[in-house]
Amino acid sequence: MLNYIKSECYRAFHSKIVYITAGLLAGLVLLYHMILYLFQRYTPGFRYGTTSFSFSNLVSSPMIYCYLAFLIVAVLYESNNKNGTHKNSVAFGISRTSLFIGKCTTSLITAFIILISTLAVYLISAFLLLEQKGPVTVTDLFLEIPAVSLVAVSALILGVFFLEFFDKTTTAILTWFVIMLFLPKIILYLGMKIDFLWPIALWLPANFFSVEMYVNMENCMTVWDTVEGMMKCLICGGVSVLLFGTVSIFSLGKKEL
Amino acid sequence: MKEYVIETRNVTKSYGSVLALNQVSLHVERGSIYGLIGDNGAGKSTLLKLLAGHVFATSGEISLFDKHHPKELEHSRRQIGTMIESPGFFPDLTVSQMLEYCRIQRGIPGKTKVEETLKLTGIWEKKNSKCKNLSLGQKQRLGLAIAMIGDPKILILDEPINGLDPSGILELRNLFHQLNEEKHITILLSSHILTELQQTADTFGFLSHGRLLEEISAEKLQEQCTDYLNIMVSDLETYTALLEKHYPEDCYKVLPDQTIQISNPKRDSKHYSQLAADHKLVLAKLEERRATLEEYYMNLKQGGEKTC
Repeated sequence: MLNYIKSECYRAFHSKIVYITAGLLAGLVLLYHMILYLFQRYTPGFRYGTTSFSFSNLVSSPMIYCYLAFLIVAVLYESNNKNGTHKNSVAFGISRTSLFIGKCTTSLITAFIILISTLAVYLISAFLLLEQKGPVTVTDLFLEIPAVSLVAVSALILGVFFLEFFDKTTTAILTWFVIMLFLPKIILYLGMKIDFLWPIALWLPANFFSVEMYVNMENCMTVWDTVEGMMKCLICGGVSVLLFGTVSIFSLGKKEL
Repeated sequence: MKEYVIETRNVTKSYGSVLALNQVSLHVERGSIYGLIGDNGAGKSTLLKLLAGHVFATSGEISLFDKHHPKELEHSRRQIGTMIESPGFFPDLTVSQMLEYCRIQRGIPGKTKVEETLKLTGIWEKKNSKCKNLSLGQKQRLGLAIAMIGDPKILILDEPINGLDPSGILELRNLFHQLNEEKHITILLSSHILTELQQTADTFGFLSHGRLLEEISAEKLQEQCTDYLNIMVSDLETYTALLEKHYPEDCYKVLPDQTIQISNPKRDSKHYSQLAADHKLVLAKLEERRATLEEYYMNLKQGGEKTC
């Protein structure tokens, strides 16, 4: 499996698309801060040119890490089924389980490197260009990362699974959004009418990352502010990793190519 | 005793209600070049996919290097190079990057291995081209390079000469012989081009509608492929009556174009022309020929006798 991970890392870091994605993400956050800076400088009464406003956007949307994780998986494995490269590895005697774990590990390494580089550009540009004031601080941002990490890993696992399981990329993308976003929202709305669904809905990341948070320019109340909240994030993420991982390994082990 | 490196025992594979392979028992001897012959949909690719682990058998047993447990099979596959259907590669990697990727994945030491394999398969000059920009023939060569990079003991190749020009086919045929003779690599290959297989393989397996009809060595095939004598005369009925009278041991049939076809004639062709001349019959055609692999296969497929 280690050789497989090494080969996948070799491929990932020899693929232009990975660098384009990393550059695009870094460019976008830089552009965002430059726009805020320019408006702050040239528009009287503009209140949003602060680090607090910028950080609040990221802190209030933890699911963005899940979307980014899925984006990286899609960049790496979107056309794998079409290319038939998977077949080479299976024919070489690498088990389907090793392939799956290897892909998840490679995606995780790539996503982590891209996250670090994007965050670096984000923080440096924020501190250089924006006014440092307001309730949302860099500490909130740094606490958000461990809180959301396991949920993002589970999103990544689900992404690898669907892209491998479904022959069509669009089916994989749609199914991923249904599981990660639409289904939790439906359960949440049904929970407003059906009592027993409400607590279940509040254990789904897409819901508790929105319903149990209150973050704006004046306030910063996050789920992970309390120990219980942080535990909830980690337990939910851990259970998702185990659940999605088990289902994936079980389903892909039987998949014919 | 024969040593089989690939063996299947009553392997059946069905896709829903469609039976792709039916009780197939294949035997590939160590050091042989085995040609798998069959029409489209006969089950050739399915059989090769089963051996490569792409699909699972519905019933029956597969054995590679005498190992048949699923875990052992996975391990055995590390000594096998495959190219089944279209070669798999990442379109944006260059040819040498693609092979380097495979080298790392297979844990093969030494970076020179990539260069060696690319040179061996005749695609070295394209090493810096992106895989997506290769022609069909070049893609086949890359697929072959991917299959060969691990110094496999067995090569499983599905239609390897697809898309190759005549000189490419000749080069590949020589390469197969070279690999087989010098490196003792066992080769299992399928092809639609039977004349090509006839020149490459030393053992043949005939698949039709998911059933393995026969396995035969090239020598035995040569023996079994009957000689024909095709005769066309002015009076068909008289000549056939003469044949039955004078040469009753001969087996003949009349073809739709009124040609009399004698299988395995027991005497020299001049005796047949003499027979016609003695009875004042005009001989329009007298042709000696040997059955080809195609004819042998067609005959076998139609459930005919093994004689052609």
